[in-house]
Amino acid sequence: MEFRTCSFTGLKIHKPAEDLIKWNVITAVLFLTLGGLMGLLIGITRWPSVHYLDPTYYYRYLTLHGFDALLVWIIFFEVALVHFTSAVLLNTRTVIPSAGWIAYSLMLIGAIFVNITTFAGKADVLFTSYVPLKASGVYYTGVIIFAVGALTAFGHFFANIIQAKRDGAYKHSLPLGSFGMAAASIIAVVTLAHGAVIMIPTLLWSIGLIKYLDPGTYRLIFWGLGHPSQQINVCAMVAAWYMVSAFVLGGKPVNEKLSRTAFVLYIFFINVASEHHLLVDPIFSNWHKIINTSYVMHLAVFASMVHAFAIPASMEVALREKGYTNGLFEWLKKAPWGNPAFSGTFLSIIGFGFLGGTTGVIAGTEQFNIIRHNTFFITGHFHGTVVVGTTLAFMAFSYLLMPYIFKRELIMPRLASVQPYLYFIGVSMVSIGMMAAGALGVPRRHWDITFSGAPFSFTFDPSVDMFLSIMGLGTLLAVFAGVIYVVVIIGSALFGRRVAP
Amino acid sequence: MADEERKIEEQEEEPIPAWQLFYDNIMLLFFFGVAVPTLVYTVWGLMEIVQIPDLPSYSP
Amino acid sequence: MADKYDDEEHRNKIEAPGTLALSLIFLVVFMVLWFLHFKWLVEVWWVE
Ligand code: HEM
Ligand SMILES: [Cu+2]
Repeated sequence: MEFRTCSFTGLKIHKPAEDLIKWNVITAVLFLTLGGLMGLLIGITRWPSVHYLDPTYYYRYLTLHGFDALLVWIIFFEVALVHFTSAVLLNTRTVIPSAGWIAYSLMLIGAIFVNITTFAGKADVLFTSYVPLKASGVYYTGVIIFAVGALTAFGHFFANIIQAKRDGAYKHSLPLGSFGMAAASIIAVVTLAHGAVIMIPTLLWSIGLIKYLDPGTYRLIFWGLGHPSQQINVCAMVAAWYMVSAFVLGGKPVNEKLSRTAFVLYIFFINVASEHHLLVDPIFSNWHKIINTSYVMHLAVFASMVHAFAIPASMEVALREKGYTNGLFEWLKKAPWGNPAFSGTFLSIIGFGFLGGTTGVIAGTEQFNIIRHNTFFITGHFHGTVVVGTTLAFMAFSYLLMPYIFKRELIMPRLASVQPYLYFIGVSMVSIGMMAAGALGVPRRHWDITFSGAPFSFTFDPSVDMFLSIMGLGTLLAVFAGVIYVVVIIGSALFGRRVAP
Repeated sequence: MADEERKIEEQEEEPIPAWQLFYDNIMLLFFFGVAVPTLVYTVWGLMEIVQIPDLPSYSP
Repeated sequence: MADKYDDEEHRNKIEAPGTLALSLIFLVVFMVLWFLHFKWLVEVWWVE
């Protein structure tokens, strides 16, 4: 039997899809562990009273933190979502499972290349690897192999939905969760194409086959990779929000047309936000900057605001149907706050919107960017989006995957149910501490903000120490909650009590 | 592609609105999703870069 | 998975008054924060 019926959701689950989801999730979690460990080390280095690592290791581990957490953890998890939404959610099969395994192997090999070269000290270039900083050719080869693997995996999404339509798994419209992942996959193609266009010349340059690579061109094309990859995250995260609302509460979008319109706005307009990385760059004209970051990009910001209220609304409607109809907020009080899939999702929506989203819109404005660029404010902003938002949403979703896909109960359910709260509080402290320090001028990617030994001296506002300490304490809490997450997920996958299939 | 299916559908139910047919056409969305950022961000940006004159002393 | 969304059923009904209230609260709070932030920015960064 290639198919089984899930006793929780009634979905028909194809065995190869199930295996692909399992392996991608577990690999993702292992790289999150590595990335989180690096986060701990650099976090306590930026905490002035600890200042743990020496400069070489600070930059080395910062490179690994960016690569493993931002790219490897997130993209492996997204590939799991690709299979979940293009096969499981459609009650159909995953076509050519071997393509899924090839993609998986390429991504894994690429990630291992990058990790080994960086640990060996041959690639202290940070994950942006700005030319003319030069890493060993193995590093760029690893990035390229990883990207080819990821492209194969997202291509698999399209193969699956086309086959599903032929098989009659759906007639016209994909379910909303799959539609969101379709948006993510489209954006992924744009992203990875830019990656290929820039990483291949950079590889040739690093091994000496090309003499000169223009740094301005590198930055332009690199951010066609670096930024849209964050938009894959946003789409996948929003798709996960809708799915958790549907699976945990039976919530349906209040207005499906509106929700889909918001995804379509993402597909068309969100990628040009790459420009916000170039706002202080003297090369580009004001018109290029203004059109890209304001007029066009705000259509995508609008879409995020639609989702941010459409999902709580769908939860509210579902809870009201369950009978929690007193007053304005009874549904909110009686919501399943002890279920980590629900609480993680809700906290992710709040954190993404109010820590990450609003600050991103501020920092992405040309006039504000000039005083925010490359300060710790930026790092604070994207720990709001990519950690409190995406990472927490994926953590929440993986709590659902345990019974549905791994057919295991969570071990230590009590600990699991407080994990999202601890992680939320910890990372929010990290994010807010960074933003406050950055608003006072503290730079990002900087080992020594006392500038000891420099020919000039500069002292920051004394409150900076306090804000960086808030970040440091938040680091400890976030890492603690991260450890709980890893232990619960890996432990449940291996030793959790089996549930009926 | 979906035309024949739609005809069958139309006999049973009311027709599907045009915007919904547009949203269901993933390949068309794909086309716009690639074209818009590539033109507005990448190609335009590259055009601005190549228009910058080299320093007089520069020889590659 | 209905082929035509049942959006029409929901037309002109306030089904999620709590979320509506929340969104209005957040709107007001955010506007206040924004203006405070703005004032502070001007103080910190204003260069004569
Ligand atoms: C335990 C949680 C985490 C802590 C304590 C943490 C802390 C930090 C710190 C201190 C920095 C260095 C900033 C600097 O010195 O410039 C940093 C950078 C960064 N973090 Fe995290 N982080 C955590 C989780 C994550 C996760 C889960 C992701 C991605 C999903 C992430 C993505 C990044 C990125 C992309 C950078 C920028 C790297 C660079 O500038 O090259 N972080 N983080
Ligand atoms: Cu960006």
